[in-house]
Amino acid sequence: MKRLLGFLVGVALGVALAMLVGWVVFPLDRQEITPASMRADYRAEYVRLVAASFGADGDLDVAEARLRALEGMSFTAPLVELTEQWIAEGRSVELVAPLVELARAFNVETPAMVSYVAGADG
Amino acid sequence: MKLGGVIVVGVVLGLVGGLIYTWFVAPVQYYDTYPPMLAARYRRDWVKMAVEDYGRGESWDRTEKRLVDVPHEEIRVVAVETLEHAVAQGEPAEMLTRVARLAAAYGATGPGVTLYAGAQVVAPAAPAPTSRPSPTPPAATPTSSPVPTPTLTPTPTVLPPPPFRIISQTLTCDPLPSIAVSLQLSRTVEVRGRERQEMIGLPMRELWLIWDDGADRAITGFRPELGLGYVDFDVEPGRTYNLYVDNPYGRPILTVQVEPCAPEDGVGWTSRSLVLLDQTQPEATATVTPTLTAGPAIDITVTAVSATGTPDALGTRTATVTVTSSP
Repeated sequence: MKRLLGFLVGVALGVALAMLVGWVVFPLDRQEITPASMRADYRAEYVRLVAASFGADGDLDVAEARLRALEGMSFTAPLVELTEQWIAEGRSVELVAPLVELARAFNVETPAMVSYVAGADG
Repeated sequence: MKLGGVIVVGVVLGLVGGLIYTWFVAPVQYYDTYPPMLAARYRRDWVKMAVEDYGRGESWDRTEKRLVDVPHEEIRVVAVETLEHAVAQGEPAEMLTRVARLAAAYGATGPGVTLYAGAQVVAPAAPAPTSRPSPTPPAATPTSSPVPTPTLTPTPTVLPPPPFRIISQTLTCDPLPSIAVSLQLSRTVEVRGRERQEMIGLPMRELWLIWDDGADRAITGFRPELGLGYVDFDVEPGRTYNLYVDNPYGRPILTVQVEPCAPEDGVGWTSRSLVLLDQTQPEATATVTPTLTAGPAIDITVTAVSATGTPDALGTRTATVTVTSSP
């Protein structure tokens, strides 16, 4: 009985030590924290930067790779989501236009974007 | 087995099982992170985009927030790389200045940063000046002294001569014409008591090629295999170009039209290879530093240093140094 109790105490100590090591001291995926894990406002800022960068260099491949780092359902999902959110919130043209431009470059155009573009043109 | 041994076995089993669980079954999940926590490659990309966006006109406040807690060393490296890339791509001067000032604000140094950041390296985006109450009655005219900004508008003042002059020009016949420039500085070196002239290339100088409806710019020193002062431009047949060094204002160093080759040189267009000499070097000076390690001491006095005669082909003068000594 005493031995069994000692064994269980040892296992508990080992598990506790493993949790400290595995989750705090040496977490295994420390090197692969992606933009997908960022707080929502930073993710929005990330998408905005990607769109601004695309507006400057026109490199669609780089923009796609950056958006894929957000690990959305599809790589354009975070872009579309933010674009529609900002259109709904009535954000300025300076903010929304680069997002719409990037989405259209990926051949993505939602009704909200179509209305926005029509309104901007009109 | 004794009780201590049983506990140790338990600890080992618990540790192994626990590590398998925490590393592979339920590894740590990060959420609500921010850029400094990103893996290095993503963090670097974030910084790059933020620096470029600042270069394109984003506010300093927003850029500072984007880069908060990111190690300055990383920002410096990315900012300098971005600056070099922007220079190579011929980005607008305003962007180069903004990126250079950002780099300088995070502690970056180097000729490129110094060249483009100018004097205002401490405050990349100084806040707008605010008026303060003054004990004196308000003046009818503004008393602030605005910082003069360069303008391409010609002024009626007499323009100073360009700081460089052409000392050599080689023409070649090429199907794709170009203008190659080598900026040089002439200096006098003394070797075994005999003076001689030495030409050295001038890196990190900005050259401008301006034509009717466009401009191109390049920085010397990015092709060191061709000389530290070397730079070249592709030009188009039939166009007339003005060449400037440092700033595209004032009197050009060279105005040239890209013309067809002479019939005896073949079919193609005339390419030029120029050597420009810096004319802004100071008057000749001399420094005498005797080094005596043994023997009786003597005093050496430089009694005269003068530059005489007219500049030779390289724009240099002969310096006469009179030395007297007392045993």
